[in-house]
Amino acid sequence: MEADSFTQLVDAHYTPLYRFALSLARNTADACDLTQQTFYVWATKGHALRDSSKVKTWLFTTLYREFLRGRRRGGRTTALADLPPGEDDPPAADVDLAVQLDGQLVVEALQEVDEAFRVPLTLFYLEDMPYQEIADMLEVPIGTVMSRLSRGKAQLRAALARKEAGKNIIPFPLSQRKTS
Amino acid sequence: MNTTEAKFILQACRPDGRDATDPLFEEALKQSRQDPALGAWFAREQAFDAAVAAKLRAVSPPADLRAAILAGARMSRPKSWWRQPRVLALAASVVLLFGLVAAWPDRAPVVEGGQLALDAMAEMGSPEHHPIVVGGRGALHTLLASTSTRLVDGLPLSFAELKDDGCRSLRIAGHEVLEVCFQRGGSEFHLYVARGGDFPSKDADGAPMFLEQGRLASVSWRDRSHAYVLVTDSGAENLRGVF
Repeated sequence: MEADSFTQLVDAHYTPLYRFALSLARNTADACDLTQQTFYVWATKGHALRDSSKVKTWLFTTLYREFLRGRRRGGRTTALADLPPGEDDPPAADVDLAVQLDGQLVVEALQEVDEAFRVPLTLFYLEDMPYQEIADMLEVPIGTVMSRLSRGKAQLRAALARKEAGKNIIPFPLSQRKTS
Repeated sequence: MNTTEAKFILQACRPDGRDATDPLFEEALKQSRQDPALGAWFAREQAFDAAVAAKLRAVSPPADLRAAILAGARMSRPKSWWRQPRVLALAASVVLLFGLVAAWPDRAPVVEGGQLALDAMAEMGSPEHHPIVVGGRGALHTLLASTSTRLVDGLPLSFAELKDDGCRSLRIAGHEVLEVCFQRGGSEFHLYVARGGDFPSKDADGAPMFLEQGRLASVSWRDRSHAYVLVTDSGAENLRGVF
């Protein structure tokens, strides 16, 4: 790939990829590493991709796989069965909560969602990929994507509520705890 | 579809409207328009999702990430396929294999004598063929250049002596062939000499064989020890005169 077209590819995709990486990795440094690693994989293997319309999905899928690879090395896995169940009848979302909270807190709340649900939830909010491509990327049927989305939203609402509650707590200064 | 099922589907409908025409959502969306309570729930859900999506879109990558990606990729861009180590290693193996075959006389295939003539003509006609070198070889050159010498009468030479004498050596079909250049009557001739065993004759009587290809003419013949090809670009008549 010529240098110009590679630069165009990076410009078109690195921001949403970074956002996706941030939701997965939960910290800026690891998100940057994941994003860089994704383009590195593209630079070395991307020429094998014949269908240029699949570039975006290829990049997101690669980033996710790189994340899973790194996580396997760290030995951190959570079985879906161990995660809390979803809601049978989801309540109306608290719109004000999402609007009023600082963007950083919303991202932090998203990062608190269990990973199995966080991946489809982030892709849902990034609004970049069709459902079929999300399903293909996760290697699950579309119905499963929707199910995980539902459970992820429930966790997100709970996390936002905790953030909102924590926002109103004024930390007690340690120096005033002393008793004499 | 009951309300719970409709909510399950509608919660997956993205707030930017991209899913509005997806058949997957069609029935649930229709139901939300007919059921005010479901419609209100869906409106709030969409507003919530839009707010979260906006917060996520507001996240900017660190300022130096783009430059780091571009710099990193530049250093790791794959080389052309033919420059990749695996391909180079394979190519080296092939070259080595050919080299071993060529340098191992016992393993070189025995090639029919007529092939020697064709290959000698091809070699002489190739752009890589050297300009004629006349001189040296002492008595042999004097003999070859003499108008009274007919090559068919036999040449007092041995392969080993010619080789030691510094004749040009080349390989044809994996076998060593020596070349002696000479002039006669202003025309140039190239005599290719090979070991007879390397290029056995297909014909029992070993009769001389004349060939013409383009501007080149050749005659091949053999004696007890050697196979010969005489090649010239001065015409078949001249060739016959020398032979």
